[in-house]
Formats: sequence, structure tokens, C-alpha cells
Amino acid sequence: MKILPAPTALSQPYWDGTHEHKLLFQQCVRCGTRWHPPMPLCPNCHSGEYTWEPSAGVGAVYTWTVVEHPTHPAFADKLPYVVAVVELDEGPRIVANIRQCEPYAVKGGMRVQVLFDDVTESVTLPQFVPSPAAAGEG
Amino acid sequence: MYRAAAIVGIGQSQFGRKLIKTAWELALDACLAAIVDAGIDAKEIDGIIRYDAPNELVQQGLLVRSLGIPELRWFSNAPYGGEATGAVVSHGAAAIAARQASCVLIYRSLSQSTSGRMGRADDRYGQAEEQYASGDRTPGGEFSAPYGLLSPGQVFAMWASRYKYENSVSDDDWARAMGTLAIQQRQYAHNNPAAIMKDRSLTWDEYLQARVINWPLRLFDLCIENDGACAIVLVAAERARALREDPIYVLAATQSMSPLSEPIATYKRDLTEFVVPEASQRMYRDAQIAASDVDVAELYDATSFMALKSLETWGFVKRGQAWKHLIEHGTGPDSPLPVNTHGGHLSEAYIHGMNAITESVKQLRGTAANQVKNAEIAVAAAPFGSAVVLGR
Repeated sequence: MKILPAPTALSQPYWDGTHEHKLLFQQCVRCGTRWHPPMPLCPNCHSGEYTWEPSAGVGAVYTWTVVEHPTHPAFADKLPYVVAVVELDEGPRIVANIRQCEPYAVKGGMRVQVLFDDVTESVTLPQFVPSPAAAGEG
Repeated sequence: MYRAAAIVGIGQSQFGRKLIKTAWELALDACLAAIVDAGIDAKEIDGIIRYDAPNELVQQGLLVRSLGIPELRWFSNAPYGGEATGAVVSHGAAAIAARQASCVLIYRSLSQSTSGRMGRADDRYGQAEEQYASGDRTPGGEFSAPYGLLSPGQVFAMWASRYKYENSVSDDDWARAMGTLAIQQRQYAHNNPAAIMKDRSLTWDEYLQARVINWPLRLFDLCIENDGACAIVLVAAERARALREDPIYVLAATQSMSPLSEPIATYKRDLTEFVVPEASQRMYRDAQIAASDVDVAELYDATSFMALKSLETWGFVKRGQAWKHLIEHGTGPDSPLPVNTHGGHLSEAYIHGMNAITESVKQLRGTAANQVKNAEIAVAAAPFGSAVVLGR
């Protein structure tokens, strides 16, 4: 069992991007403001002209929780798992799991990098793993 | 708005985990009790304000016809779940001050045993092998549900986690601070005949040994899910004085929102500042008091962390200091600021903040189960920007 995103017209480019293993965020053509989740216009200058820019996929854990208690059958066999808010180096923040890491080893500010998980033929979820540099720092 | 409107009636239904009554019946129990307490006729009600929230099944029309209200001339909904706590009073007092209504009924009714729990999402997206989540809300939207971010408690845990990290609170101090709230509230509940947890002990051992639900929140840091309803009747100050000797005045009420602060906030840039400080300052200025004048605070606590953070948000302690305040002073009857004297959502019942308002009124009338001596000013507050200051 899986829970998958149901894209809207607004978010479709984001999910098209992840399918191609690109992590995209919106960037205002006029003033350069960047944001996620998607919005129809720039929250700073109200321009409707924006582009979808690729992130380098590197960032830091802003906050996180270790989920120990099941809320849905799709996640019953994944416990415990980490849900985090990752701040990309470009600025926008993304909700994702932290994978390939002991759940209680996740720390605030921990450097992470994106891992694209092809969960079905048509859907890819961006996930995050500790970046090799951070692992080296111990 | 200062002292323009007053609460003259409060009412509540039975609180329980699985009651026979429907949300409609529970709402009627609470509303009729408030109407009787106010000493008014139901036909006088010309305004109704309700929570616009998940699991709210009782819309205004059901009450207008079942209470036989001839004409409702002002009705509104306050959005975002518990963030309606102060907002419903703000809407009601504003309507009265603007002479859009003269007698306003405000209520919240939940029947989670029939309409669904917030802590579970089992059937939210159907039963199929592949289920789909839409919209950008958190928890449960397209950018969060695929990652298992499905319950409010999980987002609240991320708020708590950031706070703990940013303030370098050790695991031991964290447990002591959060446990102080949870255990004190249980002790308050022991004296409260209406509390669901009245007869359930909670020792430090039980608190500390309980399982983690979403780290850093343990089992007893999360509220009850239940059935129940509360209601109040609000009228203009002059009418209030004619109705009873002890009307409880609305000194100020507030609603506040800033970018990405909409509940349940996940993307807000600073997740340890829930509300712009101006909102709290404005509220106390409007109420013509300082936060230090408040005698008792009923702080929305879907998790104990919300009450902890509200001590900072609503000006009772400095930012980043609430965990220390809790460890050093607690929230008991003799502490500098008693908190959640009914037991709160953790131990009385989860009525989305309406029981914080009814408890505030009881404290100011001098009729509370855990009466704070000479309580003159009370604050009932939700964490993300909605609060009310009440006074005798």
C-alpha cells in the first residue's frame, strides 16, 4: 500500500521534475524570490512570471520527528521513520523522510542530500540521506 | 471592544470517549445549559458563531431549527481548528460592538467516536493499494502524506523538536518540563468531576516510561480524542449587568496570521516563533493590562508543547525560557501562573479550546474545581495567534 501525490495544475511541474530526478522550486523572474510549496505568483513582488529552477539537492535538517506510532497502514511496516523539514541551500524547504540513517542519529542542522525514490513507474518522491561529507565529519 | 461584551452563560455536555449522543445532541446539551445559565430565552439568540474545523458536524442551521430561533442575523465560522479559540469570541464581541447582533451563542461540539480521529488516517484516502493525497496542506497533503506526515501530532512534534534543538534543551530537562505540565494537569483533573481522566493516575514513572508517539512527544504529551461540547452566551455589557451580578467581560480578543503560519504550520520560516510578537502586545494593550496581570491561563494543549510554547507566545515568560520556567515553578495552584486548571485537553477533554474559555469563566466567577484565589483576569489562548483576555 502506498500514498501518492495527486498533482494539481500548479504542482504538476514539481512532480514532473522529480520523475526526471530533478528537484525543482519556483523562482520569480522579476525579483529572484524562491519558494516551495508552489504558489501562483511571487509572494514578494506579485509577478506571475516564474521559472522552475533545479536545486542542487543539498541542504540541512531544519526540524524533524521520529514517528513511532502508526497512523496509516501504508506506514505500519516502516516504523520508526523520520519526517523532516529540509532547508535546501537555495532557500526553499521540503518535507521528506531521512533515509539511510539510524532514526535517532538525525540531528538539527545535519547536512543531507536528495535521493530520488521511484515509488511507482510514474511517481518519484524526493527523499534525503546524510551527505557523505557530513558522515565523514562524524 | 474593551468591556463592550460579556459572557453571561456557559454550558457543557458530558465528556467521554464514546458517548451515545450525536454531535448535534451534545451541542444542544451544551447550548441549552449555557442558555439556562445566562437566564435568557433561546428565542433571543440572534447570532451564532461556530468552529469551522474537521469533525464539526453541527452547522448553524441545525441549532436554529432545533432551538426554535426566529431569526439569526449574524453568523460566522472561525477557521483552522483550535485556532478558533479566541477567534470565536473576537467575532462575537465584534458583532455585538458593531450592533450586528445582540445575543450571540458560540459552541464547539465533537463526536470523534463517530466522525473520526485526528491521530489516525487509516481510511482517509480510501482502501486501494495506491491512494492519492491532494492539496498542499500539512499534514496529509500531496507534499506530506506520501512521507507519512499524516497527523497533527506529527507536525506538533516537529515544532517541539525545533524548539528543543534551538534552545539546546537536554533530553532530561525536556522530559521534566513537558512532564511537569502533563502531570500537573492530571492532578487538576483529579478534582474536576467532568474530566475524562478524573480517576486515572499519572505518576512521573508512568509519564517517563510511556511510549514515544512522535519523538520528542511521549504518549501523555498528546491530548485525548473524545466526544463532548461546550458553549457560551455573549451579550452587550449593559444587558449582561441586567442578567447577572458576575458577567465576565471580554477585555480583548485576537486573531493573527502571517505568511506560512496558517495551521498546521510546517513551512513557516521561524517555527519557534508561532505568532508575530505584535499580536500579543496588541492584545494586552487593548485589554489595558500587562501579561503579568493575568491570574490564570488556559492554554490550548493538543500537546503539552503547545502550552509550553504559549507561555512565551502570550508574554508570560521570555522567548526560549518556558521550559526552564516549568522546571523551576511548575503550573500548580501556588505557582506564579496556574495553567490549564481544568486539566486541559490532556486530561479534562479535547473540546478544541472551548473548554479553555468555559474554565476561564468559572475561574473568574470563583466557581472552578481548582479555584485560583482571587482570579480577576484570565487568558484563553491557542498557540498560533488566537486568544482572548477575560476579566471580572
